[in-house]
Amino acid sequence: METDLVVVGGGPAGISAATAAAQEGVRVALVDEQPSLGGRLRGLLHEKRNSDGGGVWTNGSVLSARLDVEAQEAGVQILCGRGVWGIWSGWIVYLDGGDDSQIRARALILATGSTERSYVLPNWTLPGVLTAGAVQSLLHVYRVRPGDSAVMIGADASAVLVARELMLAGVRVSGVLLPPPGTPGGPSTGEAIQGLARFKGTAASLELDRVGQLLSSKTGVMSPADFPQSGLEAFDVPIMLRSAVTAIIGETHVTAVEVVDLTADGEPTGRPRTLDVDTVVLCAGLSPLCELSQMIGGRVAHIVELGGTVPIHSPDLEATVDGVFLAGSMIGLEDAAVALAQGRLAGLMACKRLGALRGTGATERLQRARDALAESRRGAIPFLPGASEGRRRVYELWRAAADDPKELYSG
Amino acid sequence: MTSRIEEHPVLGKAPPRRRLHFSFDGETIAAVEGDSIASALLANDIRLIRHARGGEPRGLFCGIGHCYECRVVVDGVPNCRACLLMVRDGMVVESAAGVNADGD
Repeated sequence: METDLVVVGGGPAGISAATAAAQEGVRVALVDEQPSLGGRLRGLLHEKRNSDGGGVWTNGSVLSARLDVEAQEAGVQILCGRGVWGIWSGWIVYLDGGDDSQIRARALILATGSTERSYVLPNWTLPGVLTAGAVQSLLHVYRVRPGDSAVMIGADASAVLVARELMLAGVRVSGVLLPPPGTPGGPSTGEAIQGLARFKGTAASLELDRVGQLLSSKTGVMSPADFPQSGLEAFDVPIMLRSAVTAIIGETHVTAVEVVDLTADGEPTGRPRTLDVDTVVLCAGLSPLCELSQMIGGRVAHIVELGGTVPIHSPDLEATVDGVFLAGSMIGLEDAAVALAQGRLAGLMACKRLGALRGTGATERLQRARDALAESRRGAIPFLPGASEGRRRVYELWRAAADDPKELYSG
Repeated sequence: MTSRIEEHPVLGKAPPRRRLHFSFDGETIAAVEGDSIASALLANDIRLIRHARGGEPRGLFCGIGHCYECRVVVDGVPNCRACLLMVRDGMVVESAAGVNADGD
């Protein structure tokens, strides 16, 4: 099969990129491994504050269904249930899972998203241990409760959001707890407090705003010593940042976890106790997925402020490989609203590269997409505190590569 | 216990969906249209999907096709991911235990 543009990844970034390009008259194929479009957006459900101070629900499955319809109306060829296992220069995109296993295209947009990290603790492979993202899709896409009672391990934004989602679905949440002291990548009490306190004032999530306020004081951020041993409650969920889960217990599936209290210095104190739960939710954060970008020679950099190793890109979302554009959480872990805006900009940039961004107002459309991306960040949940500094460094690396043709790879 | 969410305070009532059936290790499993193999098994309180080479139990973990922990044999085809494959009426699903010679 032959087309003008292949978009890999059918989350918010990929769908919006494909739709924007198709609306400019370009032939677009959109490929995703999942059975339906939407990616992680489908699992989202949280409340944001509207102008009068009340709450309004952000419902990811409704949003992604709307995006799906828009893509179809724009004439995007949608290939779901197909994984991309390779991309050759030229470009040839290789698909698994059916006939018509090659697509030839003149430009590429990669929007492969991110994958969840894990915390490794005793019995973390038992059935009943799930990642936060798996729980979101079970609850909101498939509408299945993963159990009756859950504990969240890891005290980041997703732990708070998914805990409330479980409660809404009728699953009791025993608490948001830390991983065992010393777990690689796991936060200490102080780091967890710092990490959550900065969400105070976030209009995009009432849940995170509430937790942020609980952890803030007039003089700044609560100290670990002031954090109550019994926890603080937000939306009926106990936030227990002075307790850690030290082991998961069960034979064929989870039946309990072992919990220990922590001193203000993070040392285990007192006798470990067990908490009866049938579900454990690991909330260890996300890692950008940049394998396909690397496969085609795209350069990457490890930028902690963006969440890990990300493809080097320009402010206009160009990769270091000619004809390739990037969008979504693979280039930095940000809110779905940002991914949508990035997708539109990447879609228009790909059209420009193909000589297909024409007609009245083409320059203005491109500028509006840039402005909308900047605007999207003002209302977004700030998942990573240093993201703007991280982006500045990535743009510098891209400029350095662009100035030195040896560093740029032409597909 | 796992269970279906028929009524949700924000999402409302579950839409009516066509009933489907498939077999898992010989047992008939009731599913609804739109179920993945994994969601249907969970809705029936089946969380143990396969055993690893050393006999350790395994189930759904990442839910998006990355970890391959939920792999099963579907209509004789090994290494299918239960989280990505939608249920079809009459599908024969087997736990990967003992069948998947290269799996661990």
